[in-house]
Amino acid sequence: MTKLAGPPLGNAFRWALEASTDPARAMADWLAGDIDPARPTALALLADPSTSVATLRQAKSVYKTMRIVGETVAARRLAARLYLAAIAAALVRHGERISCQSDAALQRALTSLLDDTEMPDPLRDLAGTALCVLRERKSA
Amino acid sequence: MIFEASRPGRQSAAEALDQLARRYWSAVYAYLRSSGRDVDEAADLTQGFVCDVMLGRRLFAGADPKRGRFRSLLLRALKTYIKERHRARMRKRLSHQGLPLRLDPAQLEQAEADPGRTPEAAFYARWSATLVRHVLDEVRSACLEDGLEAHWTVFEARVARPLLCGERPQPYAALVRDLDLSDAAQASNMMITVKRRFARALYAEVGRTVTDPADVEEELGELLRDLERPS
Repeated sequence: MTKLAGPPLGNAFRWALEASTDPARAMADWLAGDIDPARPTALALLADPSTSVATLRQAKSVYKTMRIVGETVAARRLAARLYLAAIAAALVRHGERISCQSDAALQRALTSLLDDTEMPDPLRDLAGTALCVLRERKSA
Repeated sequence: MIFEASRPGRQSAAEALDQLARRYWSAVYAYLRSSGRDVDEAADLTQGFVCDVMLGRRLFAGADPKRGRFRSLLLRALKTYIKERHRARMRKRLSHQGLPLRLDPAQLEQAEADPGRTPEAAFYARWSATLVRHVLDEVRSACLEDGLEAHWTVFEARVARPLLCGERPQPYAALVRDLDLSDAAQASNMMITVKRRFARALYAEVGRTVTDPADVEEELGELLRDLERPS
């Protein structure tokens, strides 16, 4: 047994409670909190207009990995959506394209995020706005 | 585990009791120290309680396992035991030679309660801290067994040591270099894999201390509150 010297453990381990109801979302939120403790959920991180493009790149990267190594189908599926949401946020909030995907591939993926009713509305709205940005850039 | 421990006469019951005693004696000791007893008396009473009551199986005799949670049952039994010992203090103390639980000074020092806590708060806080520590040890062992040493190292450097020891989380760049990982995204996903394992193991451990699985979440919430409660 080790004498505990850190901060109060209860608060420190409260995240463990989150995992019981929706493990996939909990894992996505843990990743968000790891990137920016001030925005401890995926939604807070990706939907906040003040999130920097560097942070969005980090988010894209961790969710891209989670999309592959996620423990469950639900986790991998959610990660794929959040990966797209990070790309959409960079495009909408900062006018930056942080993905090498083709326009066609990106439009298909963003449309699937837009149509996914299980995803939070702010992220679906981001996908819709990102689609508009892509179309505008294409027509310009 | 609690269910097993409440079935007298079975080998598995004896093993379950033994495990519980070895894991949670420090909560008993914390209660006794916080109630004003000196190190020797608290250690003596802890050994007596563990041997006579927990391992002697009188703890569960006549107890309804549906009434309350194990830690509450344990605390009630401890209070009763202290009263009994007080009444019998003029009688010759039972010999504890060959006790299955031996407490050395270093263990007792580590189990000291934070000063200023009430005995009950000290008991619950130590119980909860012991449970969390046990779960961490269990997850570490499981990670090593499953070939996830690097996963554990990342979790330890980013989560466990900062929480337990107040250290700053080790930067991902250093972990990526030291563990030969592809990038920080891989490292952070390794970290959440172990976090998930920890959460599962914590639920399982708490589940062993309640009789109704529906109580796990509430019990876990209480445990975390016990750890946060100021002294």
